[in-house]
Amino acid sequence: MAADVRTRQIDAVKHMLNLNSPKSESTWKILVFDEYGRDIIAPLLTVKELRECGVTLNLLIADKRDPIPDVPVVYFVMPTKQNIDLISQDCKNQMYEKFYINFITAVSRQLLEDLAQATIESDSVARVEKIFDQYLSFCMLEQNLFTVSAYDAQSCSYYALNRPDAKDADIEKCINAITDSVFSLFVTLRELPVIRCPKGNAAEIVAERLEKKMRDARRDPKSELFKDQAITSFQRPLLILLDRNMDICSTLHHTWTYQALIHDLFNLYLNRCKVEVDEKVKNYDLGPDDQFWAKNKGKPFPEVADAVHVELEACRAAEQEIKRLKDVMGESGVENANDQIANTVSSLPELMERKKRVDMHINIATALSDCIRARNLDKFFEVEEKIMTKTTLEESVLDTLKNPSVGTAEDKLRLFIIYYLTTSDLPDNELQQYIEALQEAGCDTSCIEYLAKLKSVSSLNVPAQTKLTSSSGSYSSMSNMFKYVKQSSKFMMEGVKSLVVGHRKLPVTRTVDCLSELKQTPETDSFLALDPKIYRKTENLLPALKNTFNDVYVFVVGGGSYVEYQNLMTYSEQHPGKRIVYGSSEMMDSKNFLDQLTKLGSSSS
Amino acid sequence: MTCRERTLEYRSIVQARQSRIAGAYVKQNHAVAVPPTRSQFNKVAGTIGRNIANTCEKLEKLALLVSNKSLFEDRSSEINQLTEIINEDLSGLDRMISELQAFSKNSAVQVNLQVSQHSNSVVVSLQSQLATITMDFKEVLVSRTESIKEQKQRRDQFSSGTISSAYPGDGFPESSLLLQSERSSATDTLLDFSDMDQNQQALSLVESQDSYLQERERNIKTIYSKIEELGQMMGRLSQMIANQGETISLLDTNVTDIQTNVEAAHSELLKYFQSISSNRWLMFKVFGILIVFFVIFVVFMA
Repeated sequence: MAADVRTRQIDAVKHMLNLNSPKSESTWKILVFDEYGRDIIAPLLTVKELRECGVTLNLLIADKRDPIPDVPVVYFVMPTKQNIDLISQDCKNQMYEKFYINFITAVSRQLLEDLAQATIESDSVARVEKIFDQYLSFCMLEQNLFTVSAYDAQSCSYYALNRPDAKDADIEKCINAITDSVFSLFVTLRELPVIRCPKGNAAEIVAERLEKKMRDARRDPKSELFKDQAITSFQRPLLILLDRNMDICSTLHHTWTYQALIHDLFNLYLNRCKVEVDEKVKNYDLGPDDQFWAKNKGKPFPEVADAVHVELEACRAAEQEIKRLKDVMGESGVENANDQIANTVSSLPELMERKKRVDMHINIATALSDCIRARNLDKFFEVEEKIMTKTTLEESVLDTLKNPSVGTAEDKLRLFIIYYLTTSDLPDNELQQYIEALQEAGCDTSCIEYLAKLKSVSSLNVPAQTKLTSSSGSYSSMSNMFKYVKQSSKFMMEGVKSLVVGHRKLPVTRTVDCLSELKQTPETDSFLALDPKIYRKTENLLPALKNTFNDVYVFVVGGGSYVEYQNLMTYSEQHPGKRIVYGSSEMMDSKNFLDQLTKLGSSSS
Repeated sequence: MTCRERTLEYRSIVQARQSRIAGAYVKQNHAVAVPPTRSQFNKVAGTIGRNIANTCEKLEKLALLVSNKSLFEDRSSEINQLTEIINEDLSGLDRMISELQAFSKNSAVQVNLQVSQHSNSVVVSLQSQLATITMDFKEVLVSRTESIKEQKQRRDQFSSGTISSAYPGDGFPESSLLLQSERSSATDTLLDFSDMDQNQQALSLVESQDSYLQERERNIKTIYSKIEELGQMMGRLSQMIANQGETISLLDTNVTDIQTNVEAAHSELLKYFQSISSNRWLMFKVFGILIVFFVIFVVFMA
């Protein structure tokens, strides 16, 4: 059962582009999508692949489109009033030959009636060929990473969920979007998960909605959504819904792995980053088909720099080989030379591609190391790691904050927040000192108020949790956590400490470990367990869970970070047979998150 | 399946509404059902697509025949025939596509931009399909040459072996001298005959082999020429594709391009506006100075 979500989603999209018929008869057609649809398809298929599916043009629904009267059209849009209006407008103007309408999530009866009314009025009912609900409203960024929707992330951000003046309708909308997305994911997988979530926050609401929705879909005799899953459900997947409030530090932490650094510094969005090279902003695509990227994205930055170097050398060697070929040709026979030339010519495009990739990674890595040097990120990383593992610091946090030559205001604020959240009792006068130091450095300290509130609530709830974390076994290997790599090459890394990331488990990873292995800990015992497969809702499901889970889907309500994603990936590599897919309502970089916290702080005061 | 069809639901809603309104709409409904006739371009593109599929099938058959490497079952005539057919098909398709391209260029002038984009990408994708098929064909031909070479080698091995063993004298067991002499005297005349016979046999064998080899050589030559032709065709195709300037890009580049263009246009407009307004000021200043001078002139000179 190679149930890979990404391939499943690609298959589903291709099926849709094939006009939802299993026959592989190719007709030319036009694809019209809205922003949501674009963001779902963009990481999955390139224009070239779309063309292979028979798509000749892809257009945004809101753009001005010219009529092409003899070609069928495939819509891939969210079921909104606006889109329905646009579609019925197109029908009225007889823009295309036949209309195949696909909605990203289930379309409501009301909207369908609107569409029917509009098409009757404009006399174009016969043009509407097919209407489908696709259940594809999630964005697979990578093999094991998805978000709700990259477009319009504001509406379900951490801020939207936690702000005190939020309207019920807004939160409702946000939670519905998240529920739809996770529901679509499991529809695409054709499996019913066991759901676990902590009590008393947004994650619980999402979990309950999700369970209800799945149960309804299973009961509904008309829908075929979960029908064929009975065969494959020998091993069921586990869905863990978590809330961002559980671990705020991880998103603010200065990171040291390649992908997370790119995300933090260069705004990785839909697998694409913007890097400034020679005063020109360049766009780089970091797709899953880039071998080097796939291998190195989770590694700490110094190692990546070395790997880039090695790759560059390999490319140079290949180039030399080709140059040498010219000399060899004179000596060896014609027969041999012919073959060699043919081989070289066929391998050239591949080599060019590789060279291009290496150039790209060199540019990115150089820009990264410039950034790291300018902002002393290595120092921040080191200090923060030490704070989080509660080792003694060489230099007190206050001194670092007061040091004007180190880092930007944002970096300092992040450092302090981590320090503040991990230290259990900080006296008021000290806190005041810190805040003054921060204000001197030019930080907006309004977010600390919000954090103080959050901290008081969480410390009331779980005093056991902090005790547990401080005595947790995973911290015992602290002493060898920072190994300074001595033989590290000087390539691009001058002035940057070569730190090695320790294999520390983040809170999310620890939770996943406990829940999937069914370990008994005070931390996770309070988690709710829901099973949409059982017809009646039962209070206590825990005894029924006997097997450990191999397929785990983690979803963080309120934004996730690449740090957590990579931490989970490392965990799944260490445990063969375990597959983890990480998802969140949006991938937040720390700047974005900090902004949201500041907004929360200023609106609560 | 992961999707859910809602067409029926939609149709039932439509029907319910229509019956409610009744009369007026029902009559019109019949008129609506006629879809517009497909244009010339689509028809031609459709035929080309089908032809490409047919050619693909033939090519698969050919590949199957070529991969059959049995020495005894020679089907070269069949293979040659198929090669010829496919070659013709390919050049025909090539011609048709270039015609289609010309057609789309001519007709695209009158209609809007997106129609021409559409037809353009249809042509490009047809071309790339043809290119892949041509590549496959070339590969099949190359493997065919290889297998012919191999067969020839094997045949050489076998035939030289049979000739050496066919020489007389080998088969006689040397039991005793007496018997041998007796036998030799007895078979002397016979031997002569058989020797000649054997020689003749070998000769004819060599001859037939010669003709066979010549035929094979011819085959190889035709295949070489075919490959050459294909190479030329590929060159033309690649040129065409380069002309089309097909760039592999992600979906949203167009959108971002538009945005940057709009922004650039906006900034240009702003610049222009500023330059205009500064010009205006210049004009006012010049006028002011002129008037001052005029006043001075009038007051002091007159």
